[in-house]
Amino acid sequence: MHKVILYRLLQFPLILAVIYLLTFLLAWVAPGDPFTNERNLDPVVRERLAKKYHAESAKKFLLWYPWNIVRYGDFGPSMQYKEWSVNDIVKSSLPVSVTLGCFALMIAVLVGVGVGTLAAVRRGGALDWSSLSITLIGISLPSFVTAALLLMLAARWKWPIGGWGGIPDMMLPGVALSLAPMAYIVRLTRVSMLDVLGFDYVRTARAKGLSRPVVIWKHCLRNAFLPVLSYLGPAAAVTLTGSFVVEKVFNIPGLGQHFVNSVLNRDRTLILGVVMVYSVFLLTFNLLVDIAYSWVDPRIDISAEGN
Amino acid sequence: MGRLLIIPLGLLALLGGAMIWSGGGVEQRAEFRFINRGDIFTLDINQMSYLQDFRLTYAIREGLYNLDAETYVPVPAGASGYDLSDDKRVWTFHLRPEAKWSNGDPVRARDYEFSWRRMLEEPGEYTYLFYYIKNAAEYETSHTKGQPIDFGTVGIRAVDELTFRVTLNDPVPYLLDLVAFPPFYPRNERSMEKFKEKTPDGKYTYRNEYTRPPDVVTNGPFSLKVWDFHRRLILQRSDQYWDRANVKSKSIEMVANDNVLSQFLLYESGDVDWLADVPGELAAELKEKGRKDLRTSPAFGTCFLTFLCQPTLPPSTMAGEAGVKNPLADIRVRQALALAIDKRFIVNTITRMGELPARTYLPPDGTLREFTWLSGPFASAQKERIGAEEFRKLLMAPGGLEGDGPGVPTDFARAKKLLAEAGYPQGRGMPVMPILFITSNPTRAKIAQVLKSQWKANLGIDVNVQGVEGKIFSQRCSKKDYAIGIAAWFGDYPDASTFTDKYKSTSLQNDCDWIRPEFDDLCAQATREPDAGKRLRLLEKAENMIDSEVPIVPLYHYVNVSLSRDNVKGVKANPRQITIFKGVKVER
Repeated sequence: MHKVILYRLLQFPLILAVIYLLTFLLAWVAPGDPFTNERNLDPVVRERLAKKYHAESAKKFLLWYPWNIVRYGDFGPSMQYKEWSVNDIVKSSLPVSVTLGCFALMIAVLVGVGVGTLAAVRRGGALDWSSLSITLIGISLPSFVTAALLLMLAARWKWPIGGWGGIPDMMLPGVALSLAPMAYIVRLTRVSMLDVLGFDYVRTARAKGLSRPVVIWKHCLRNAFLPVLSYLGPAAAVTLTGSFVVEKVFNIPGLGQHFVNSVLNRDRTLILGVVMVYSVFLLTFNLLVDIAYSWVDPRIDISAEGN
Repeated sequence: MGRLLIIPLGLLALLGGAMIWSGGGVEQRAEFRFINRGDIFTLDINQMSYLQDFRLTYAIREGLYNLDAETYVPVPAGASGYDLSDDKRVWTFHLRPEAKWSNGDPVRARDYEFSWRRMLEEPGEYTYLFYYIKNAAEYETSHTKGQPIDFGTVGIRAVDELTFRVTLNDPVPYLLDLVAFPPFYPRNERSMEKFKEKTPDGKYTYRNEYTRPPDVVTNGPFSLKVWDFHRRLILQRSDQYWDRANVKSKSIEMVANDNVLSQFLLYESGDVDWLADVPGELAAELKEKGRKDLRTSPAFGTCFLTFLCQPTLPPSTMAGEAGVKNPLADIRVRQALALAIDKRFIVNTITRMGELPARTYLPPDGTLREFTWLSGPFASAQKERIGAEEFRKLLMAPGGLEGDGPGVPTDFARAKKLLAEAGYPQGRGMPVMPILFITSNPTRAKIAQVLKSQWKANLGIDVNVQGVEGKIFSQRCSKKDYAIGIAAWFGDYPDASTFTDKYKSTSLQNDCDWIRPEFDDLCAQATREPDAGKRLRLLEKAENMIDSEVPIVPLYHYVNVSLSRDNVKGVKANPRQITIFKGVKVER
């Protein structure tokens, strides 16, 4: 177990280096550059800016930039928001996205698992059908529609509209962000719960005289939860690093918006910064999920030596 | 089963931790809150070029002169007055002794000298405005090469603590407007010292962080207290400002918000007092509803088609085929295309904000006081010159686009005739050229469609439409890698040259590659002309050349649109979108 974790951790830098290189190449070959504005720039001015941001040539940038990251942990200045370094931007926006993402994830897991379980237990009933239709909407309606609808409702009910500050500000965007993973979790839980409910050991437990709720809670959920758990890794990485649409609609100063804006602005340093942050999240959460697997069900051996 | 609970509990702990980490904190509402055109890109004067950045700078800094909040003419600010030499080339400004920086230092002539010098040593987009100053361009070039000439030869001089002398190459009648423009504002060198850095080529630069609180030192009516990235900027009335008695609000907050729906809902709920720029679609919808708090004003800007006038079309526009003859190089084709556009249809069905359809490049919005427009190439020469007021009436009148007047009228019959003369009868033999536009601008996307159908119907010409990202559009235009583009220009200072300079053969902004020595000559003569009236007559001739030879087709003149309730005083839509924050006040 420890060996596996160590092995995975050793892989991290290699994977990150590959991601870095690919992102760098894509950011560099994309037409347009960070200093292009509405007004055509004097070549002298452009050269001066390029020097200031170490962006005269791909080679220079490739040499200077990773060195700066490794040595000082510094992603350099943003090429678009000139007063701010990429570190500043990540520092101010990542916590916001993580807070909102956690909140959304909580809603998604609690409601999703609860509804999914109930739907499986009362299979074919009204709850099952309504959960099906709601999840269908949750999966197929794009978030820019649901988020905008929620925003209009907020305006009508005098809820806070956009911005960031207290807990009330978090409610609607949290709900908007949770819908898609929630719908997914409902379906995953329902399907695997149905599977588990048909197992022999469940019948045995019932025959032993255990009550239905106890059997479901103690014996079934643990096994039925495993597919949800494996989905939670990537889902957490996605929700915690913020969503472009939800952040844009509710005007939340999180990291999500920079995934799109940095590319539109050709802000090469910021592109690399946010991609690297996202990658670290994705790798970490996948590892955490694997560890959690064996925590929830000790029979699972992630080192796969059993095979 | 307890183990399963760990996951939600873990999430809960993470949530709590993250909430503390993200530091919400609700602060007291500022007296005046507004939403700017977009988030701030930079507050470093050297690199500034976006309206939102200039707008905020007007609140925290000021120049030798400032613009009056009502009339927008220059009034003394950092300087209390000036002397002008007889040849109108040497301006001696007398600084206001009581002017102070936000840290209490007095504002002195060397602060101006330092700031202007830095514009030359670390050039930015507006450095070209300093080329009016004696030896400034030479100094910039030599400094870039690493062998700077003596700065003493440059016409920028702090004579003593309170006297600042500017020596120009030629008379510049609008110099006071220029010094009221942020690139000409002073800076406090001492506060920037900490951010000074050497560049690899041995020059120096200042890290832009010098513009962030708590280190930023400014000389305007407000000082910058808080700048939360992508959230807000909070300004507080400066207790060091010389004219603080006339600063009407105690605090101002700029809310960063780039979502149209959420902006509008914030304004509707009273959370925000002023929406400085209302985007096209929302504006048109509100106008139809007859909203009284929607404020509009003609803008000092024009939307136009830009034509590439080189002899051959770039291969990228012709599916890779090189050397295709460019029909747009022929003045008759350009004129025909201009004659065949129904501009009134564009302003009535697409933009819908009461824009004036355009016959000329320069807008008759009232900014250019003495300027007049000359009759166009197809006019039966009834009238030589027309003033702004009368021109506006003409453009609004029925038939005002079709009849005589400045620029090219709308005349389909003449368009067909010219096209046939140029060798493309009914559009036959014309290569299919793309109209390039910026996809993120929905108005321009619609205009491209309308032009395609109008040219097909009125001339029988086929064109393509091609939407690209903003950055790609700018890049392709500047590299002359397009055929027809939908573009715009806004004037920076209230003089015709802010428009005409764009089409000089040496100009970086001449995307058409329209090169006319006569035009250059007119501009050069105007630059040297000391008599204000004669100078304007020369510029009028220059502008008339653009209107007649059609390197660009003016489509319509913009309007500025903002939202503010009646209790908000001191903000109003005006041609150059200038806000003088001193007088801003919300009456509650």
